[in-house]
Amino acid sequence: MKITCRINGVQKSHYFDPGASLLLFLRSLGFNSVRNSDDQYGFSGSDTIIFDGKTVNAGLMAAAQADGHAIETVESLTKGPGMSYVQSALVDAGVVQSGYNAPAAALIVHNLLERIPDPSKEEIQDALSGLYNRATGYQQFFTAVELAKKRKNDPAYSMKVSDEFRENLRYVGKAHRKIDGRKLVKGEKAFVEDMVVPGSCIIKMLRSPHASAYIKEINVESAEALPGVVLVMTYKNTPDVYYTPAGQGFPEPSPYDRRMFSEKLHHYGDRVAAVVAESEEIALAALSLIDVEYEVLTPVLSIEEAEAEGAVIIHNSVVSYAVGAPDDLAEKNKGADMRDGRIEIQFPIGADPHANIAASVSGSIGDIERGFGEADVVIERTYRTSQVQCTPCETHVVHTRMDGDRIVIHASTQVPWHVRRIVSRVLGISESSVRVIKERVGGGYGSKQEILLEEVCAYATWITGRPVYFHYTREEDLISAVTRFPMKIRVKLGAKKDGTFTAMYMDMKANNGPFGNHCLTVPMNGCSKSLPLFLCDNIRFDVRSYYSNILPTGAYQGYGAPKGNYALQTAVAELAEELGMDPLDLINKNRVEEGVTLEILRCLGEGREGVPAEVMSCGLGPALNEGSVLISWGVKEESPDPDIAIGKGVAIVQQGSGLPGLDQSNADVKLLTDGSIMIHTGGADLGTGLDTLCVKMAAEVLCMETGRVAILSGDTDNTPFDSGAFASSGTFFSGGAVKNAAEELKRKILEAASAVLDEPVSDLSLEKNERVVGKNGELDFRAIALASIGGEGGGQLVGQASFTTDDAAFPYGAHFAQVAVHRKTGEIRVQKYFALQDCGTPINPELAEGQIYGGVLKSIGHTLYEELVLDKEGRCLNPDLRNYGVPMITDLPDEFKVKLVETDDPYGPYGAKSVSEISVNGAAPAITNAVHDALGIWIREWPITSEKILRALGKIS
Amino acid sequence: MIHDYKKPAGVSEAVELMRSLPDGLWYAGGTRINNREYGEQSGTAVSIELLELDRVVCTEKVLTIGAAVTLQELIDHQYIPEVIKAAARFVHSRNVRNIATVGGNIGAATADSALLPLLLAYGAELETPDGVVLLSEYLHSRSRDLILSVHITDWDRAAAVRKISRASSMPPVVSAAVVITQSDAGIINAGVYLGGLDPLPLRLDLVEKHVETGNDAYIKAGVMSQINPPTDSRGSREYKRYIAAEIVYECIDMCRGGLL
Repeated sequence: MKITCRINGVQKSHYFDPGASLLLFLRSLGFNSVRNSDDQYGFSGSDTIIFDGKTVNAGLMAAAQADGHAIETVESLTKGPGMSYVQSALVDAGVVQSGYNAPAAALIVHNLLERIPDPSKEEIQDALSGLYNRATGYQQFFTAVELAKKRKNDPAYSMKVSDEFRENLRYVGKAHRKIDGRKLVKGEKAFVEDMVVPGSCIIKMLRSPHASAYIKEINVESAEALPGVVLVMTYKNTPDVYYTPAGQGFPEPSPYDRRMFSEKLHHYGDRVAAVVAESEEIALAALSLIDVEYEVLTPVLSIEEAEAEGAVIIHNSVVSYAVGAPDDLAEKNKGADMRDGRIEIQFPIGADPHANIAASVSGSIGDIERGFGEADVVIERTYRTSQVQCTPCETHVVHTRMDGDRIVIHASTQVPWHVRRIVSRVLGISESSVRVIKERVGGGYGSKQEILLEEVCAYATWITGRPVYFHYTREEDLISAVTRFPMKIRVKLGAKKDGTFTAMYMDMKANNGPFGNHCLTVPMNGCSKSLPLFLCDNIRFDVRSYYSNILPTGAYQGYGAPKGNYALQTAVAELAEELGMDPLDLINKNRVEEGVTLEILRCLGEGREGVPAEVMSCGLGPALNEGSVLISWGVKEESPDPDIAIGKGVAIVQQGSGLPGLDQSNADVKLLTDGSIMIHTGGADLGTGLDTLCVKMAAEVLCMETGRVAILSGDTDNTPFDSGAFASSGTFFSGGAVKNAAEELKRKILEAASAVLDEPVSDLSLEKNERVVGKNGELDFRAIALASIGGEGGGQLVGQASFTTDDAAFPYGAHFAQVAVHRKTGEIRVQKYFALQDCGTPINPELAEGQIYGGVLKSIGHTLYEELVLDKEGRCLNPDLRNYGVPMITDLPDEFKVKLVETDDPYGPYGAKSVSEISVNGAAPAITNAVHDALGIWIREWPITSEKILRALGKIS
Repeated sequence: MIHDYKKPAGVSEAVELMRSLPDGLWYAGGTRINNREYGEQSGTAVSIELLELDRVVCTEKVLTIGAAVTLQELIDHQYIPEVIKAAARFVHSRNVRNIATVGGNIGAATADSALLPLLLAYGAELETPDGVVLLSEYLHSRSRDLILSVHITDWDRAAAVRKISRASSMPPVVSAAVVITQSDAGIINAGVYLGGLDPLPLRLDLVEKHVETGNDAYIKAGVMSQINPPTDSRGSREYKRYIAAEIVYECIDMCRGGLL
């Protein structure tokens, strides 16, 4: 059908399939800013366009509907390289982080301000009601609209968007436009999907309809014979190599129990076969021609089922160890089923796969029994958490192509170097044959720490020589990307009458699903990021991870901490009730403080021997004080509606800053010939602003304008090694490496200037405008650079540095919630939420706040709404965003405030500690405790649904 | 996916065209036909875009809403009663409301329909090319007739809607709509419907009778006795029965000015 329409003011006529979506029509015309993140479910708004003056979802409309109408995409907002007033406001307010939906946001806010020049909060929420923004939540949209409103008439208008820190520094601690913000908000090429070369093949995966089954027969002949099919992959023709999807440092504390394709299927949605074809249509048609006969097994779905006597064994495999094999291994392997393949374990992690145990560990300090014996009050409670998903706006995606004899992987990943290492291992080629380019990441939150599709796509390219593109649908992402481990956590606490803790015990049982990625470290982290919040001489923990046939689990922002902290903090509040104490008083009586040494960390080393750590900075005191004032702690609020009960809750939180002793980051900072600077860092900016942070710190060290500092990051060919963006390592490790490298370059600049000026280095200093000033003369960077690269120079000046440390820097925080609960319906409304976070020196304060807003809202989602629901056969019943339950702007707390509490940590760059992960650790306990304060009931399982409230109230049986 | 798209210029032409198409689908905004959550629909789309069905007319007695009026236009229209606006807002996304139409919401008749429970409670009628038909009859006969407009008589009756969902954007666990016709002598008639539990809204005639006869004490029990929803990812059967009873009671109370 010929479709004639006006797009961004230009009349266009094109022939297109009338029933194809308008989204596809626009993308076919090159408007790649109109994105897809929900496969035409009309939920997430990535496909927003303005149609005859109204915002709509292009994915919900047929191309034919465009005929005779006017369409605007984000390209309509600007001409040239600049940003519109709305776009600049969104970036400057900190809203644009992963940025996948940033063009859609810009269109919506632009449309809003065209309709309503001075919108109310409700009108802003209404306008943005169809936009999903996982990275930063939605709170900063109100600031962005306020800023845009002013800039509409005064483009130069600026306003304070966040608090500022470190008066003595120019960039650090101050808001600064995110350096990739312009590109993202304008919808320019940035993501993997924008890099796909024409003529690329498409991969589609045939997924298991069963949670547990063997493939008895598989016939792919008809699929292979279909014209346009390039390759069909099954367990029969793919490498017999085992690996872990976890992008952790080698050797990983995760079993190698994953094969690219296996004869045994371990979860609903597991890989059965993949088709590589010339088009998506052909690939999908070929999938339907694959004939599979399954031997269906009874799935194991719960911890109780997995640990039961005589339980079905998930991986009845031949187990081997690189080092430290147990003595009875050969005996246990005798019963292995060859169809179950192998498991290779790098070193002892307390695994016993033949008993469904993926990992286990125990540890203690003091004498736990004596501690409980000394207690006046002992409580013991069990808590459960459900399976929730990272749900980034950009689903998992990869593009692979050959470059001569080498393979290039365009990846949306948090761990480029682990992608290279694992892909090279699976393909059986050297790492020098693999280049990984981390493109902009449209949201990761841990799920892109896993290698979930890169090796499949890379193998297809390696075998066929063809460029290949593999992009998960939203359903694939929900059922086969990773999730939080569901856990069952038993907490036992003992205390004296005055509240002094005498003993603390945590028994963490994790349901780690079909594969053992992160099986040891996630539940350990649940202990290591919660127990050290309190000072107690007698502490013990037991950790055990069980294989099962639920959907895959793995890393998710916060790692194990949200679960461990939920259980422990709720138990502390329950203990306070038993003691007749105010929970805040009990926290204050026992909490961690600056200067103490955390002995418990001696046995919480996350895969290696731990060491006690001294707390060098801790902002918990001011955070608790300020938070209690903000929420009027101790004041009982009454609703005018007698059916509404109001309550308040508090929780303290902590995390780490990378993994001391395990992580490493490297960076080069180069002086270019005009005196400007180029940073090469292995750090993987997954939208958080890590690149911006590195530029700011380098500019700070070198007394330069940030506009004269460029950065290239996360390219394994062109940047040095980095462990990756996980475990809250970015600022501390990757940023630390850049700061060290900049200081090394500064030293070299001063030495070079010393030679030219003939003055000792001690008489020289760096000054603004790229100058080295001595007592007798001065030189600018340009002159120094030219001197260094000339025929008589000593070579280009490059600062090279790495960052490793054994020193820990713990971020802390206090979260306060006020909820209103309907006594008759069990509905919960979060009226107030205050997150007070100590991240040391906030390098990017507005971006830090955005991450905290986003993290808190994610965890409110986990606490109240989100849940992957499986039936008794292990099939997922809600594999889409709407039915899964992610929070949208209308789910924001009525009053929502993030407050950064400044401390100056001696180990972090410029006193910085991590910020992102910690923010997800507080909502579950704070809201649980607030619900108790409102109604007097304890809900010991998230999500806290109205049904659970009603059951606890005895309204339903 | 639709494979052809026709845009007739008038109602007669549209009806003739549809008669000639064995696979014809009336096509308004497209937000249900193209939405994969509701399953793939294929056929030839017959668009109502040019049929001039986008007007709202409000007289003292009757409110007439054209089938092509979008849900957002309902919300923005000065003459539309607040309760209808509230029901339209059950479609969470403004983007979707900007293109989804009243006719489409009725014609698609999905279990999570925002408008159907309320329109049924009003006893709304549909104007079709063949005449006026009760909405309830249209739905139960699975009619494919073109909807030209919706008529609500005595649109200023007391009415209330309520939706229960986990997150604001999630489909309803259950929704309720109640419309009460009163005279000086008391309640003459009540319409009580539940959405979200069955493919089509459930009429609670027993509850209607309790309302009409003033048996307020039996309302909640009446709701629970009339429904038997399945346990699914949104909640258990017991929960749905309980919560449905609560929100029906709440709606009745709102209609009666909080006098229950």
